Amino acid sequence: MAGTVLDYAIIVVYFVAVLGFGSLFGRFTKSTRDFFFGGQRFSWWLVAFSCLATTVGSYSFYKYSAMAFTYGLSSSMTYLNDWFWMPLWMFFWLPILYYLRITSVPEYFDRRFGPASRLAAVIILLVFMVGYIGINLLTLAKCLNVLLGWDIYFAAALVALVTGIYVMAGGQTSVIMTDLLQGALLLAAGLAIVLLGFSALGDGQGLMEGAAHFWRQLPNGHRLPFADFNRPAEFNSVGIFWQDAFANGIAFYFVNQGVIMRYLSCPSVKEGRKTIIFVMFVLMPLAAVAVSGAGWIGKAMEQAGKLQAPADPDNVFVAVAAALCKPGVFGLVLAALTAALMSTVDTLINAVCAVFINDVYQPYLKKNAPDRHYLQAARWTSIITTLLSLAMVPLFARFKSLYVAHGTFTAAVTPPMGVALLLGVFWRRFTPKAAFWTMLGGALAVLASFVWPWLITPLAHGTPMFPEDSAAHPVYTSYTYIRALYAIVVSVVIGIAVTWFTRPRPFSEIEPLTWKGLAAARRIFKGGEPNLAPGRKAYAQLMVTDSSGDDSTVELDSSAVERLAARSGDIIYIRDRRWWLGGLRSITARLSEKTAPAGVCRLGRLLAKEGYLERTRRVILEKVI
Amino acid sequence: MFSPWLSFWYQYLVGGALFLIGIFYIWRSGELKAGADGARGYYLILWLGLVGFWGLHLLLMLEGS
Repeated sequence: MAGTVLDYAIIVVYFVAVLGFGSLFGRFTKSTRDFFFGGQRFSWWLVAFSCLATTVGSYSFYKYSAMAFTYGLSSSMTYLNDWFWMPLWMFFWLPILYYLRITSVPEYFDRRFGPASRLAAVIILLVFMVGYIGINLLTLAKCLNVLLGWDIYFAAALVALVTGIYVMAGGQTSVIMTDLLQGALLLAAGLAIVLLGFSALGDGQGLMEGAAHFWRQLPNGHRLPFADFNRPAEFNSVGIFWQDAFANGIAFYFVNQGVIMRYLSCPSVKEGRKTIIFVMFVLMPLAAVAVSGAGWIGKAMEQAGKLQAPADPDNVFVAVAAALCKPGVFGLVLAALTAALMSTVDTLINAVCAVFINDVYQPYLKKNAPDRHYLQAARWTSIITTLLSLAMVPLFARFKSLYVAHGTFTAAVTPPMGVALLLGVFWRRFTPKAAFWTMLGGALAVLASFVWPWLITPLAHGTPMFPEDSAAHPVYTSYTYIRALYAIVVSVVIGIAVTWFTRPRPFSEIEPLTWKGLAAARRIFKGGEPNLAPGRKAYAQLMVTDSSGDDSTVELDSSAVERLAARSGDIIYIRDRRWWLGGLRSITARLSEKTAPAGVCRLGRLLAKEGYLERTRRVILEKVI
Repeated sequence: MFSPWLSFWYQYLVGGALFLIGIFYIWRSGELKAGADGARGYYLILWLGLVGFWGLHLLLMLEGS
């Protein structure tokens, strides 16, 4: 199937817009802090959209539409089942990362457990992320091949080129800004298909009648938000719960370098928490509808005799989009698919750069170089990562087993690594040796389970080892979902057992790196006693001074200081009052002992320049700590 | 119809247990008492979110059964 000229034109405009939009923000990147963490200045809503765009991959529309068509509303399980991690993520892991300025999971492992665990974590993360970029490129290339007839390698190279260029130019700032565009586009396209479906099902009687008709047409089993408990092997709720909510939940919220960097782009822990709440309770439910909608609508249309369902459910997204979308709208849907891919890949490229520069290049290859050197190295790393991932596309395309092997590898290493991390944060007694053996032993135990799947049977909750047509499935496809429970249990047992026989580090050394040490972490961050008195926002006119004694502080008038409940030495977030800039023009600075004239926020020239603040603007002030 | 209900209760009992472990850690850490970074407000939102998801799922289960 191929699009019309209009669809092609929309795709081209989209590529040009993303490239231009992403590259535009290159000028906001002047340090590694900008390149990796966007200068820690972005508003919660901007980071939230970026998180959403990262979560929804190019395969999501295909995969979830197929599940939705076959199983109904229960296809939304994976988007709505990881809320229970929120207390641990919001209240502990996020503040530890932020206050200790930890830039990557390997760095945390180094500080909590030592260099051996750091090395293991670096290898695991780099192999996982580079392979994952390659798989995402291949997935989208296959989609574009089916939809537009483009050559797979041409499509992969085009997408990689566009993404690589803007990541190189603008790093995290470009990633977040383009993700806003892409997140909005993919949500809009997915939800548009649902509304068009209601319209088609309503036969011109309005959307509400169409929605009612949709609900009536869905078969009974399709209306339930949960699948059957333990059958079939391909889609059962207990397996998906352990695989997706637990293993992927740990991998996504605690280990995923891209996600960690995204939250660290916020100016404060409070802003990060706001982001988490918005993503979890607003954007994820919307995304669940957006990616599954075509499948639900397709089933209702099939029941109503308005759609000839494709033989292969994997093609239902294309069939429904083609049936509902007029030329032009179809182009937008294709652009949304591309957006889903690019917004996942750009995050991963930036994350690979961060791990490589912070955990390999800086500590081992080039110590104590100026920041400009590391920024240049990061730009080159982004290009090399893109090329390396692109080189993997023919490899993944040629050997199906390699594609599966990457999935197998991921399943084997991410749960043990996640367990080691969680035990490290929430159990102070957990020892460095135990962390190392949890990762290594856990991974080996999981790999063993691919050879001897019966190891998992006692924990399988009655799920079948193989799908019904088991003859077609090799041994490594056994227990697709419930293996995660086995991985978690084995890793926890190894961790506890090794800890029992080995000596922990003194609590005083590791306290800020654990749940018990948040107050200490705050003191380290601030370099003094934190001010936790609740304050309110204040507004002021920016005044930039050309010659200032101390260029790292901000002077405010007494009423603003009172409103903020601040005292000298506190860290203040200063941002341009225009909300739609999302914090792009902002900076954090320490409050000076000196007082500014009434209604004025006085700032040194260098600080204003670093925050891209314009001299004549009004600013909003918030106390960080 | 029994099996999806089992799925519903399993997720909320096991997931709920982990949620409560998180709540236990929050209480023990003293974060609520310290009130840093809007802790009390976000603690309340967490509970509201849990109840909201549970209510939404329960509603869909009852409607779809």
